Amino acid sequence: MPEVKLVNVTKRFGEVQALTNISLTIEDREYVSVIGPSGCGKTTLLRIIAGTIEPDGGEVRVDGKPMREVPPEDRGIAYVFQNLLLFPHMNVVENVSYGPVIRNRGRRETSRVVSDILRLMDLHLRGEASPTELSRGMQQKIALARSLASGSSLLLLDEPLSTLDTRARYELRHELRELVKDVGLTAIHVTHDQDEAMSVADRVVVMRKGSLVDSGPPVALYEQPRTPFLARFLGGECNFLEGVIASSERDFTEIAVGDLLLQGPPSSLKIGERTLVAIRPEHLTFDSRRKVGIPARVEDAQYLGVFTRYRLRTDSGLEMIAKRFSGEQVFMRGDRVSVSMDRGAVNLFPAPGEGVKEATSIE
Amino acid sequence: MPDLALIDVRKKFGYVVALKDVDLHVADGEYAVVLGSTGAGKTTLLRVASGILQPDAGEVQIDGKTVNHVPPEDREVGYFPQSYALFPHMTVQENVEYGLRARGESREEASERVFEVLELVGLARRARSLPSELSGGMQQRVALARAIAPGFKILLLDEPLGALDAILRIELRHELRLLARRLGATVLHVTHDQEEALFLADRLVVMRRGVIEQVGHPREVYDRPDSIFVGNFVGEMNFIEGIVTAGANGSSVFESKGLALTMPHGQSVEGRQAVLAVRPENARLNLTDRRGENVLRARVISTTFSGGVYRVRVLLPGDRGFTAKTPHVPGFRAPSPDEEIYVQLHPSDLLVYPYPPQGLLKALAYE
Repeated sequence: MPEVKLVNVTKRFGEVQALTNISLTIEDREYVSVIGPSGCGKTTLLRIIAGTIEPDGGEVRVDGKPMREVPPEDRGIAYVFQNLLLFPHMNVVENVSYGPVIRNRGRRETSRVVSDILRLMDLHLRGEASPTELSRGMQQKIALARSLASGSSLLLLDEPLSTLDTRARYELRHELRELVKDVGLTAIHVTHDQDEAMSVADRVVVMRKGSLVDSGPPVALYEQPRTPFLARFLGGECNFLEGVIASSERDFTEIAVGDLLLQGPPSSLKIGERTLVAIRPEHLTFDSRRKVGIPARVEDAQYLGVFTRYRLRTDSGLEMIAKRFSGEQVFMRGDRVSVSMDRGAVNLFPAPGEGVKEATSIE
Repeated sequence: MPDLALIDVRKKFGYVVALKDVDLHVADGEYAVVLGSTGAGKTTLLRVASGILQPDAGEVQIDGKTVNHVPPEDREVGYFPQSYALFPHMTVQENVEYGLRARGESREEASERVFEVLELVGLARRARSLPSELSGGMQQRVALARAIAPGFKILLLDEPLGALDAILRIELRHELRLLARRLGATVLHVTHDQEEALFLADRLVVMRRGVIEQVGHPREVYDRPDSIFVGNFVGEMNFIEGIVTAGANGSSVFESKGLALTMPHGQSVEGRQAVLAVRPENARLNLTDRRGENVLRARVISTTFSGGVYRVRVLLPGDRGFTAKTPHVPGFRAPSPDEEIYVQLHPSDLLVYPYPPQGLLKALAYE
């Protein structure tokens, strides 16, 4: 029953502060994804849990037991890397057996474990195949099967899908989640892909510049970002508008953005205070008939499959990005529309002191 | 008028056929995107177009003239290779200048041009930086500036956004589209990223194992795929095996274990083994209402959320796994596991194909 606890973990590489006071508990059987821009420290965090890097300060505990003196191979961890490391001269069964064999299990026991895992992962018909005959997606599944064959129930995944093509990555992430849940593993999955992070995990941990900035269930983080950075980083594109609080009522707030007056949810910001408004593109609605709403024109319409992305220009000159499900009414470049949004879709932040650009920087 | 054509191009590497009689025409000012998985032949296609590789058979034409025997440096195409390398000891400016100087331009001519293109990619202020001082996204833009600096009207781009984090890829693809428009360039761009391809392409080319499977406007390819392979590869798709029979009033009905669905008019493969295809976002979820055409009872297996969309896995009658997608709207209550809901499959959203002789799995394989 692996529960992982990090207490005030810090790590420095020379001048670079890679991790600053990270405290985080991952519950037994929880699937946690860790996401952040390149260089945010997410891989260092994973390696510290695995034991391949020692923290400078703080502690890692697994099931309450401090790991400081425990070498990586005794931590009971299955680690899956970004790069496929299969033995090309061994077939699938031999590759997957490699873990248990070096752990000195009996031949019969090994063979039972391996065939169970291959069956579970729908690979049992390919046991005799050489890795080179299989697609890259399949090869990554075999690497995963091999790490699970060691019998550990704590799975660390370091960008496990990032070398795969988009289509294979998409399929495998759903399989990965099902597997972790079916077997009852505890999983920590590091990725740079927001959609992947949100669709695999029970909880998403967001890191930036060596610190943990937020953590929560995917929908909660998406619906209520605590900072402008989070609004931009989780969910892809986001509309940011600078405004001033015009009125503050018990159940709504009015925000002046240029000539426009928007309504948002109640807020602790004071009248006259500068604010940064964040609205997700999929939360803007618009149509061509209604009179209420913000008058605007469609400047560009792009088909993205599930969604169509619209670039709108309000008559007052603001640019807004909207995304609508492609099955709904389609608009063309030049169409006149009126834009509206639910109060709940309006996120209000105090105007960031460092400027909008810096506050929302993802590099 | 720069247009680019590949006519019946064939290329083999040993026993592997990398390109099988590929016919592709990119019109002047058009942005064509080739979408395929690893090993589909995308990079080979670009290298043949650039002149780095000679085809075994077929022709490459630029502006209607055959260029098979014109060396790469004289074809007047800008090429962005998949693994671009910036010179680490040279500044941004020097990196971009390098290609121009190698072509014999004077320092003055070159430096003016360099600032123009750096301005275009938004890096004019970083001209004196070293690559190592720039972020990954900025380095990618420098490499792009280097490819467009000679001012050629044809650009060949091999995974130009490939090395970037997901969110930067999305941002840079907007820039790339604007840039191509501003330059009036004819572009051939290859990628394995479906959304990137749909976003950028005026014309989408889907490749598999050296063969072009479909060419068309993105919307046409996505909404009306020629084959179940294309339907599954350019986006997610549900498939149900069954047979089509005649229904009342000249309509047809798709039948499969536990379900019967009214088909759209004009789609008949009657009496034969068939495959029904439905996009997850076209399946309408209804938590309580069972009225209407083609409404099926469904049991929820799981709900996942990402990028503004809920992906709901359900079991349809006959214990058939099915995926539906629904947009996130504030206040939406996602259905929970084991909940009984209804799924409506509107006839106009149903596509039907003959059952593939090689079986479903083989027909869908993309590597």
